[in-house]
This record gives sequence, structure tokens and C-alpha cells, in this order.
Amino acid sequence: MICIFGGTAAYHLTAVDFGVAEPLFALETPHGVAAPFLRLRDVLFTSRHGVNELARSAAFVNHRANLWAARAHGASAVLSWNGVGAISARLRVGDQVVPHDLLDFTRGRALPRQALPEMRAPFWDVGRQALLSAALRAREQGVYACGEGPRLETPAEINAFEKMGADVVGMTLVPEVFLAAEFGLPYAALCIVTNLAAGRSTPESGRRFGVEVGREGLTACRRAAALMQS
Amino acid sequence: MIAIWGLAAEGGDPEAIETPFGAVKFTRGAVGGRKAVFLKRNGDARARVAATVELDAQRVIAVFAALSLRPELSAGAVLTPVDVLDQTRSGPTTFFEGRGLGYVQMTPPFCPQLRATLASGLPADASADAIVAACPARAITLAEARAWSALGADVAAWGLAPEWNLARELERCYAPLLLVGESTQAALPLLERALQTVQPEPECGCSRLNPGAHRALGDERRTWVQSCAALARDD
Repeated sequence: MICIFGGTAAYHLTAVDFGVAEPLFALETPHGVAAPFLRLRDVLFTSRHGVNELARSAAFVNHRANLWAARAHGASAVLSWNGVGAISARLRVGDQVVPHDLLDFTRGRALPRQALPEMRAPFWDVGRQALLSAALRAREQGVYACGEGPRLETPAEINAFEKMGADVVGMTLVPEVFLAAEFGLPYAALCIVTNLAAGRSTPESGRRFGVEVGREGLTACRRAAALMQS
Repeated sequence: MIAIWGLAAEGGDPEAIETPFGAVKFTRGAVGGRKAVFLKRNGDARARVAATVELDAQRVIAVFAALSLRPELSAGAVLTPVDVLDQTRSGPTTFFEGRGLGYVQMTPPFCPQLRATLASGLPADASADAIVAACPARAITLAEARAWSALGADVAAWGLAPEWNLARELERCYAPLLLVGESTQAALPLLERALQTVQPEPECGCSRLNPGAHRALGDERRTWVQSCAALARDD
């Protein structure tokens, strides 16, 4: 069973968006209380930042408890979506990217307990290919820069991230992607461009943080899950 | 009231103010004909920001002794940087622990109006577009200086982050003043001159930097501080 971790605007989704949904209440895990989950017809689902409201910013998401709970509820892999700011000039608001790599600029988040002396692709290739088939507009390459937040990045930081190779910037994928490996859950993510990054956005470039972002993320992840489960 | 951080006033009796994040020592004085409070940079940065809010200072001039990362910026240079590259890795990053608040825009990262006021007191050739690297609380290495310079930084300062982003969360007009290779006290005559022309009240967008906090907690920033401190204690 695939579990979907919902990011930006997941907290705006309602029963209409989920269809058949059995609530699985918040589990007490050895790592603290996990977010509540839903068992949908085809997948498991949870919203990282809260239910019905943006209750916690990225640094305060208990990724470890959520991943533990996902596994306890029967998950064998994770697909997620998250809103990002576009750094690369090729990206526009509304574009999608399935990142293949990331740069970590967080500070002191809960990393895996066992540091592994290896360098490898952080994202699950089968999941990435499924997301690319499900989200036809999505670009198949992209480096995600993870900032600490909750403040937005400065224009100078965005320029520096670009020089280091980043295409998009967000706040949530670290440590989730590394912890998922610790929990033995293959992991792939869909980035949805909600705005242009600091110093690049203009009044005309637009911003998108409404429920439609959540619907887009949920639909793409469910389709990708169906492709893998068929 | 204007708050000056990182600089001692001449004269002025030492006072202290309690905040939920610790006590903060300060002195009262005047600069350029304006009432000012002077806060040293020690203890929790959140306490300094909370004290500044409590003392009703909307504007913060943050004075730093800085290190040049460019040969053309030599000792004696005075800068009011336009942007920041945060290289710190510790210290509180937000007042709003465990909540969905604090998504503060950093374009621009510093108060544009207060920066312009400071710049008016500087020599005309002072770098107007300098980027400051906010250093961790230790010596930096030569390799770091090179790397940050390659990433766009012109100058490095200690203590700028996280005090800068915490001050912005509580919607202060914050502008740094950097003195390359000099004691921060050298800033006093400069501030005397620059603050002659400061607007009586700020006319920038800084007091609405954190709309989420206004919606969730109301308009009184003292209430935000109390609410954040209560959550921080629950951890």
C-alpha cells in the first residue's frame, strides 16, 4: 500500500476531495504523536502541516512519528507532494518537478539515527517514474534546496542556492526523505511551483496556495500509486 | 523610540527589563535628536527582540564590527548591506515554535526606509549593494570566507542571524550598520548625522510583515511574545 504525504494545501482538502475515507486516528508512536491518517479507497493519506488549517510549519512536523505510523498502518512506500518556489528561470508558477536530488540547508532537524557513509540518489526511481507518468506536465529533473524556514529565503540566499545547483526551494523534504530510508520506505516527491523564489517573483508572476494545489498533488500521487499497484 | 543594538550609549543609567526569554540590560539616550534605547548583544536574541517590543521601539539599528571578504573593502569601510546570506546553524530560528506561523517574506530582508536613512549618513562611495554573510558564533575559516564570497557575500558579521529574522518576525524595521575592522563605537558620530533626517514615524511595510500572526493572535505584538513563550515552555 502506498501512503501519500500531503504538503502545501493538503489542509484545505475536504471529504469531497478524498471520496471514500476511513479515518485512522493519530497514533502514539515511540517518536511522539503522529498526524492522523486516512485510509482512502486505494491509498493511505496524511497531511504534514495539519488538518483543516496550517497548524505547524515544516520544522515542527514530526516526520519520524509520521513515518512510523505510515508503516504501522500498512504503508510499503511513500509518495508526497510539496509546494516550492522556483529558482530556475525555466520554471513558472503552476509547473511541476519530480526532483532527482536535493541540497540540505536546514539547521538541526531530526536526522536519521544511523548516519550512512554513502552517497546515493535520495529519491526512489520507480516512484519518480510513476509520478512522471501521472503528472504529464512534470519535469523529470530537478534539484530541491531545503531551507530551514519558517522565514522565506532572502534573494541573496536564492542566488547562492542557484549557484550551487538548485532549481526549486522548499522547507519540508529534509529530514523526511532520509528518515523514510531509515524506516525502509521507498520515497518519491512531486514539487508543485507555488511562487517564484525570493528576488525572482513579480506581481505578474503569481502565487498559488489555494485548495487547487492540494487537489493537484493528491490527484497526481493517487494516479501514480494506481499505476504502480496495477 | 529607536533601538540601537550592539552599541553602548554615552552616559545613561543602566536599566533592565524582564522578558519571557530572559532579562535584558539597556540604557536610554538620544541620537541625532531622537530618543533611543541601547541594547548590548548578549543572551537570547528572542529576549532582545521582546525587550525592544516592550520598550515600544519599532526601529532597530543593528551595529556590527565586520570582516571584509573583498580586497576593495578595507578597514574603516562602513556599510549598510542590502541582503544577507545566513550561514548560522544554531540558535532559535523562530518565535513561533510548533505552529504554522512565521512565514515572513525577506524581500527585502532589511527595512528599506531605515537603510536609506543610514545610507544618508554614509560617504557617497559606501557600497550600496553589499551582501553580508551572517557567521556562526565561532571564527570562520579562510575556505569559508572564499566560499561565501563566491556565493555573493562581500562582508561577514557575527550575531546578525538569528536576531535579524527574529526581529522581522515581530515586524521590527531592522537595518544593519557594518563597520569593517573597527569598534562599533565608531558608529556613534555617523548615527548622530544620519538620524537627523529620520522620518518621525516609519512609512514602510515592516509593520505588516507577519500577516499570519495578526490573523491568529491579533495586532498586539506583546501578546505574540507571551503566547510564543508559553508554547516554548511546554516543549
